[in-house]
Amino acid sequence: MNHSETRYWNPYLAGVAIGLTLLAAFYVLGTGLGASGAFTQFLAAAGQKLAPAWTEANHYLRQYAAEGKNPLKDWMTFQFAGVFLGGLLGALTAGRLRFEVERGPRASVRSRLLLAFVGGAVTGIAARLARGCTSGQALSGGAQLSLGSWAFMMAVFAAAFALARFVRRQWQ
Amino acid sequence: MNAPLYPAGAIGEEAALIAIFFLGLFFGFFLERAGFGSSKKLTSIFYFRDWAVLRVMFTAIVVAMLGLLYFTGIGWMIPDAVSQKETFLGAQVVGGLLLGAGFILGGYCPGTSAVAAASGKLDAFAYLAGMFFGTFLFTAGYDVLQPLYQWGAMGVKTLPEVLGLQPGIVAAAVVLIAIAAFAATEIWGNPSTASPRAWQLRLTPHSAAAGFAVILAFGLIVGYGMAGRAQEVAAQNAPAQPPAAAVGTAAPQTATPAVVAAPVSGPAPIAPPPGGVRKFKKGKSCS
Repeated sequence: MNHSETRYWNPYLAGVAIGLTLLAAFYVLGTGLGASGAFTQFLAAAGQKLAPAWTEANHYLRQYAAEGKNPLKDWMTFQFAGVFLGGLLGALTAGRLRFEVERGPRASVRSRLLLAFVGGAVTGIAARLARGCTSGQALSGGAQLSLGSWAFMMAVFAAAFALARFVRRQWQ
Repeated sequence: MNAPLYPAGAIGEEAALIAIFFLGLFFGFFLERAGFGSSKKLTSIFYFRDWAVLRVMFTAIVVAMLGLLYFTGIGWMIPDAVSQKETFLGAQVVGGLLLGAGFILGGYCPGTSAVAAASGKLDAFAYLAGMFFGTFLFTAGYDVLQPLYQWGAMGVKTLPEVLGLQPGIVAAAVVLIAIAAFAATEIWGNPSTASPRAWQLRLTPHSAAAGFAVILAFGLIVGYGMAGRAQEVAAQNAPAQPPAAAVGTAAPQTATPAVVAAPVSGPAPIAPPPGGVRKFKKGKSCS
């Protein structure tokens, strides 16, 4: 542990700060926050460049990459850039910017990276299926008391608690 | 007051994009300060070691929920201009289960993985690459996945509608459940990982109790206040609507379903902007 590291905030205080940011998003844009949608935009942008015919024919992506549309000029991507830079700012000012593979004492670097990729891939599918992730559905939809968002949130926690024992070595 | 600002036409698209960038910046900064740039911290809730995830999320939801209820209730925000997410119950439960699995395997959720990557976590970069690949898999299989993707389509459905209760009462119940969850984890949660306090603010049983009392009072006042008001407003607006629709220039979808006392329309002073409200984005890609 580095002694110059700033401590984490009180979770309730951080929660209030995030809640007010979310409320501000509703107030300014009429919609909540989101993170996973940025990947759709990135994929649409990459598809436009690398495989325009395929992207144009894909029933999902063509909503985002239609003729003359720039998928990168979208609120999801702008917000994602903001989240990344905000995280960087936070890590820098707290003295927490360290290049490392975070893992439990008994986990190998390779298994950790592999599982992170697999977990990311599963999440990528899941977030599109659920039309949002922890930010867009659980936080934003939760604050709007949306039925689907609350069902989603319960399902996320249920699955993670149920599967946690099988990957304990990764973390503990 | 014309709010929400962008849908009501108070600000343009460029300004909205700049605004969302800065909102993201704050979001990312606060996530980092909450400790959510660390997969160990994020996943420790699933081993009953650190309840920060529950505390941060639930607090954020309660704050935003009460704020939304209050702003629409007193007429600062046009409720119809706030985009509501549609419910696809089956797809969202399956998606939630999968996302939970991805969370415990990968250690992050999409937003926190960006923060972790920005903090230098190399595993977060692997997770981000996985996200990209998973999104590709979904889009490639979009046609095949249609039945699952549309499973349980219910349109816009909120808990107050489903339960047949006033939004204010449901909100008050959410506040109470949140407080109960906080109290339970404070009392029975594993005390071995001492949660650091903001600016060395000590969380003693007394200060915790005081904080809870304040939140409870606020929740109850706002919740029940809004519940009463929503009823009044709904009653007042019910007969007044047909003439308004006749005069209205561009209001084709005014046929608001008789929602059980959702704060459908704010008090009179707010009229929808002449051009109608615009949505910042289709709800579909919203996440």
